[in-house]
Amino acid sequence: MRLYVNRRSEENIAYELKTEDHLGRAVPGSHDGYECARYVGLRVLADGFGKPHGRVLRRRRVRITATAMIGSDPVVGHGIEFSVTGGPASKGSISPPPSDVTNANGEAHTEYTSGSNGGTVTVTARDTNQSGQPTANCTVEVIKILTQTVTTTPSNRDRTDLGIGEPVNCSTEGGIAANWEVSGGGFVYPTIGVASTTYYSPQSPATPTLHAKKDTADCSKALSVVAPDGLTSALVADFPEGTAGPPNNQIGARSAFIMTVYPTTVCFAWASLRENIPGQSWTWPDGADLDVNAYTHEWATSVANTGVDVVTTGLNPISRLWDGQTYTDFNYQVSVPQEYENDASQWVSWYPGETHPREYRGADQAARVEFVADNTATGGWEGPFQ
Amino acid sequence: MNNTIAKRRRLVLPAVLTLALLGALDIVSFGRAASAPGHEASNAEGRPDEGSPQAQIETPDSLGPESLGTVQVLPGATDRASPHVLLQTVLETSRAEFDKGTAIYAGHLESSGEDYARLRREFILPMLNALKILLGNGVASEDAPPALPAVNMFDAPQDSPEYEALVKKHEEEMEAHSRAILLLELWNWRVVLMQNVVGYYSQPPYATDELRQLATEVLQDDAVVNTLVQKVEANIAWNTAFQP
Repeated sequence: MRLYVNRRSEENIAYELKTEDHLGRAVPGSHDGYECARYVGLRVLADGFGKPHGRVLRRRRVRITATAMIGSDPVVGHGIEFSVTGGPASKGSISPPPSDVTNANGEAHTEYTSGSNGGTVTVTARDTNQSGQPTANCTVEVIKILTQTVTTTPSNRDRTDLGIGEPVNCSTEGGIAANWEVSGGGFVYPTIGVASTTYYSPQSPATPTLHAKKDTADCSKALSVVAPDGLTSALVADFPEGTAGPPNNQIGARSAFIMTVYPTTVCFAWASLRENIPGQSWTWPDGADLDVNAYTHEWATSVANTGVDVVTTGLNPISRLWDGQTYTDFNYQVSVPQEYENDASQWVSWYPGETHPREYRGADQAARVEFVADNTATGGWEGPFQ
Repeated sequence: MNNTIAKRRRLVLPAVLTLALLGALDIVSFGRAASAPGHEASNAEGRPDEGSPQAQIETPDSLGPESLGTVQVLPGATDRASPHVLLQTVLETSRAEFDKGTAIYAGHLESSGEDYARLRREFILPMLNALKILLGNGVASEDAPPALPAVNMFDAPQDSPEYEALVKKHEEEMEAHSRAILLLELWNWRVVLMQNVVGYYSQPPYATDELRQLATEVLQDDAVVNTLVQKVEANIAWNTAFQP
């Protein structure tokens, strides 16, 4: 397969640059005018984000061949000097030595190695044996994927760890259009011939890989999608449900807690969460039944993975604490298992151990509520009330 | 099922369903648009669209007699308490327009030089049209992402007097969250659109004047046009940062 690049005639010598990938495959291209050469795919593997500083990047090289011909006859023994004559700041380099002598086929060879930037790089070949030192150029497109999370919290928007369902804006450095694919879960849109797209992560943990492809170039970037795995809470405030007596006829407590879902290095605001509360029963000291019917409540965190949970006992007659002889201590805890919805619309448990204890103190008929997860947050004692 | 995931999934309806939706709603209509060779633009029902004289956008002479056509947008749809379907329609309509552009470009990714320049002048029009739809509906600019509020929880006895009020508040928060996700989706789509328009004109042959002309004619928004041109110039500077 012939990659045409440039043909610049001077004193009957035609110069042509040919570019091949690391496997020696020529990259298809088309004529690009008098001065410019054509695109060649270059694969740049992991760009090193999030890896230890100083890690050596794995880079692909492009083999570049300059051919000098007079008609159909090769020009033999001419010195060809290669150099990078344009590109982004980290433009890459020509492998030493930067020059070669045309062989029996009129060909001189070199290798180009990409830098750390994506973008369009121009490599120039100069015939140092010819009057006027004519040149021919070729263009190498270095494809590098940049990602930025859609939500601005957490502040590190370049991160490759994502919460389930979290979308990411993906683009190529320098604005090179490519075809986008993803393996390992989730999807991208748009996909064809775009410099920018959005990756929608799956609703389940995954280790997807993004690909931006053009010709033989395939730039990939590994991502990690995680589910919530931790929960803490802190007391926001108590909101007593009644007015203190005398007389005091009712007991109860109400407090608001702020919850934080972990890990906070990703955003779970795009995840569907729910509390799947089972039916539970207890008996008050006075023998009355205390029932919690099974129910579910969906909720969603803020972009900071937080949400508020108002926990209340409701108001009950003070006589509930009377066991026939005295007001007695009483407590019970409501189980509040946490689940998330996966791509198959199945609810998956991620924190089964959350509980909301209620405590009543017989001595003064005060009550309080708690939020127990990875820590315990406790509301203040409240009541009794009129 | 009133949950955020179901709503988000609806955002990525295949284009064919989107067009069917638009046709059913009879909310958005298109005039003739730039189309892939051999593919005559049609409306949601597959009929040739005669367009409307209003908002007719003329294409430059270099494109020949083919016109971009018209876009009837939904003024202020994101400024008022619109049903989600309106926001979703704005998003899907814009995406459908963008897809027309990529359909033209698909298969020609290796084009370069004047071939690419000629192709770009054609496929950029529906893409600008897609951006126009967002601008016309007040989608937030790139530097002002909409907030995404939480849906808070409550744990209260179902027979308590405040239970119904808590349920109502929770439902309102679910609704607000779903709407916020749509607005954020629209905002992100605007970001992606801008980046792509910028990307196409960041490649040689450089033609920022052409972009300015076309974008001005289609978008009629000087601020956005200036942003596009500035970003293109920044990208060109990036690609040419090294000069010996």
